[in-house]
Amino acid sequence: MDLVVRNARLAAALPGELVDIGVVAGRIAAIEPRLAAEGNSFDAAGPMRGWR
Amino acid sequence: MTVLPATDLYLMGRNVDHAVPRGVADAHALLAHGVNCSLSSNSILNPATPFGDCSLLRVANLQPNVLQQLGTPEALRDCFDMLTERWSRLLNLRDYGIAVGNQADLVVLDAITPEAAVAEIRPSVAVFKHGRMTVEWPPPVPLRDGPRANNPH
Repeated sequence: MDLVVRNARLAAALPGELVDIGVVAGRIAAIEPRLAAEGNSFDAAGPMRGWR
Repeated sequence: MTVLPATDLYLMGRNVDHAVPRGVADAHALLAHGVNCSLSSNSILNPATPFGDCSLLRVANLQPNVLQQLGTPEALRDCFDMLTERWSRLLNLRDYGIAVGNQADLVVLDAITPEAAVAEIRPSVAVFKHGRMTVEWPPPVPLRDGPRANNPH
């Protein structure tokens, strides 16, 4: 993956339902919990959010 | 229909000197009648809209303040949707939204829910366009160990 945004709560999700969003070539390639993927990862959740 | 609450508040009702009517269209009333609406703003810091910081969440927060009766979670959610999904339908965008195959245009809000994002005007901590970061705005961090010593050097 070119980018994975991890631990994101989508606007339509239930409380506590977090997913990872995988991006390839500028498009969303996968949306699932705990996406098994290499690559730059941005953590969207909590006080420690940021690049990983 | 697109409502511009900041612009309408600033421009309208200038012909009276008391009991000034605040000319903001009640988007929620229109939604209840099946009219799709979005919330937006005129250009910021121009003669018709002299105040603002280009935050659409600030505009979405202004609407229920003016309309006075819209403090329910459902109404706040409508405000959020009028910046996002409802807005995309007004523009006839075909591949809008966070779904596999769509363009990776993502906004990370420092918010628990969409309703809280509107109620609290939460900041966008990161923005990605075509999967590349275009904005990073880390939220303020409280110093939990107490005040930090000032060090001018």
